[in-house]
Amino acid sequence: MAITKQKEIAKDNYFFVRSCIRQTFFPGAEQALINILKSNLKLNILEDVNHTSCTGIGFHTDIVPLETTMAVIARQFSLMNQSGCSNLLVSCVTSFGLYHEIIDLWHHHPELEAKTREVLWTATRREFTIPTSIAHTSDLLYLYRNELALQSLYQLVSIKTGKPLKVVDHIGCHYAKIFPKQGLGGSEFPVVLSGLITSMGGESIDYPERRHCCGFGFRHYVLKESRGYSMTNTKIKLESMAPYNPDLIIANCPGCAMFLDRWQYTLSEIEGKTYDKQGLGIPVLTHEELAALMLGINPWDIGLQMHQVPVESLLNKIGISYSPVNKYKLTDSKPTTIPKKASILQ
Amino acid sequence: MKTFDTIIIGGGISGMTSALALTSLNKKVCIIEKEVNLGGNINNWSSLFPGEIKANQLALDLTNKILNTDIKVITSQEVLETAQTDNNGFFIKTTTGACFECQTVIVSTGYKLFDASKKEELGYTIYKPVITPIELEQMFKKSISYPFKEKTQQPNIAILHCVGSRDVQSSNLHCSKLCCMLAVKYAIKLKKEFPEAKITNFYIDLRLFGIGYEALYQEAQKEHQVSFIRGRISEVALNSDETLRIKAEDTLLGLPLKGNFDLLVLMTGIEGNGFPTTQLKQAINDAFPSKFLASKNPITEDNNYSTPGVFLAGSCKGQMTASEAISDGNSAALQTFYYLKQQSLKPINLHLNEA
Repeated sequence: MAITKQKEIAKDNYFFVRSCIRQTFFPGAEQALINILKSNLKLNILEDVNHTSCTGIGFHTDIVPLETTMAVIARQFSLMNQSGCSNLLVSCVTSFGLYHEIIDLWHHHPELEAKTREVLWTATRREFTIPTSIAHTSDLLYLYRNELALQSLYQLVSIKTGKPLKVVDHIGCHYAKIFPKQGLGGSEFPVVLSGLITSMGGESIDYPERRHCCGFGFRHYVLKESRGYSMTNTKIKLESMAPYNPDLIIANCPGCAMFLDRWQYTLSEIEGKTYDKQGLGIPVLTHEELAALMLGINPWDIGLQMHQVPVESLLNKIGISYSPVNKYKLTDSKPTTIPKKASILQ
Repeated sequence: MKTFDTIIIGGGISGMTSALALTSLNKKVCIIEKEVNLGGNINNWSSLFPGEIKANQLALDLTNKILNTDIKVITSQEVLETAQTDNNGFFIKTTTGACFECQTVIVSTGYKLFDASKKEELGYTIYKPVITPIELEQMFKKSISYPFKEKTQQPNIAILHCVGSRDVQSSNLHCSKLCCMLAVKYAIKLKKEFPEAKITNFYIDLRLFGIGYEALYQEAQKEHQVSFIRGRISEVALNSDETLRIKAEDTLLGLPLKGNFDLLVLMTGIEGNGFPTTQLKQAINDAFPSKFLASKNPITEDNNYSTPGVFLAGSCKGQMTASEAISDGNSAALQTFYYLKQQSLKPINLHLNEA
């Protein structure tokens, strides 16, 4: 392998920046992560309610100009400085890539950094220092994967056969494809999720289109006219992994998890088929959801009822107990509207 | 301590040629070779173009000639230490502790192939059907079997040029010169072995400079239906049936390509082996991270190194064909002979006389 030296990940004391879309698509995932980091791993994780979007999706869609993005990111760093932390913990893979991209841009063009400092000072009277280290949340779970495995109540093992479940991973493109040295294992064979999978007892499956884009592609999804292109790319991935009969897909990027999950429904409606043998779809989890599930957190508290592909087939394989009745109850136990059943995806 | 007129570091074809030339000029010569046998890289190849000369026969012929002379041959030892002596000669110590003195040194340390596993997107050492010329040559010699099912009558084979050559990412900016011809030769050889095979070469541009090379390229296309696509392979992955899924680009059509292949041959580039000892490491030309050694003047004194009495022979200076390496070995021997002749006319222990 080309990259033999792994990046160093700070062990503790992080300023956490949330993901716009993770909170929207998978509303239990970030809270589950915070609970794991603080309660299970006893880490010092700080937040600031005033932090904002990194502008990533707007930036990559050419809606937000570079100057704005640089100023917003500078402000995030300033908030981190204010918290007393120098390590940045990033929830979103798009943000993770963008923070590194802006720092690299400033490194090569110090005049842009100087201009950003001037803009931030003029607008907010704030100053900032660049983080000592930046970690994606999946990096941190990888770092503590053995501790998490020790605390876990469940494993990625079939309760029926005792064999490891087959798990395919999808790493968000902006995790390591922009800066390979910033990804654990580099850009071609990242280990950040496969390491977590094997620590949890699962079998990590290599499949041909492992590195292919999930289909998000920012503008390709955001513009309705090119949404078919987005879906085609997801189809390429699903077709590629289907021969291996995976029990589960794991993704560290919220956008990727979203598209690999939601487009399974859309494709099933278009094509009249699913990419698993049972017609149930292939469940998709994010890394935080996987860790929380293995630690024994109630699937509905993690927010797994928000997934398009029902997760019950996975829960049954692992032997995780759950209440079907409580799936669509609100936190105050009041029932909410139960979504209609899909015509193909069961 | 044994003394020689010339110690030759590296017993490949250029080093052996230098040794034979110098001994025919009545010079006392010693060859130090790190491997068990003489021959160097030539031992890795099956045949040489043009003429389909058997590579091992060439190595054997040169070795036999050397064994019939009084050339001292030391194998399985590397040079550990070198120093200049008071009489403008050199002291050399090997890894077994053996010490020698000589008036001149010929460095003929040759080349090594680029480590293709550094290009991890190409899957070498990760996926079994991805090989380099080293493995392919062994397959031709039947030392190892092809990494696809025996029943495969129509293997789909890809050959990728310029792996670790002309590549900024791997710091090798040079063209390795031999690989285009070698790739065409491999394509024909594979086609002869598997007549139903579909063979595709992926290239940046073809550099077929030697006599007969262009004709071989024409033959590959006309008589063997070998395909040539101008473009690079961007990614290699393994299918569930153990075949390779290859993504590439056809830059002439401006289209991305994707296909399944049974075998991928990576035409690894050539890198220098550098100087044999740390004392002389400054000799490595910093301008070429590929560790080729720089001669005193690449046009007029190409066999001379900047230290008087040190000469360079063969592909330690840069990529060479076998015939060029042999010619260069002769040339280095002649330069060494001139130098020894001049030295013999000078007062001995010049350094002491000055003191």
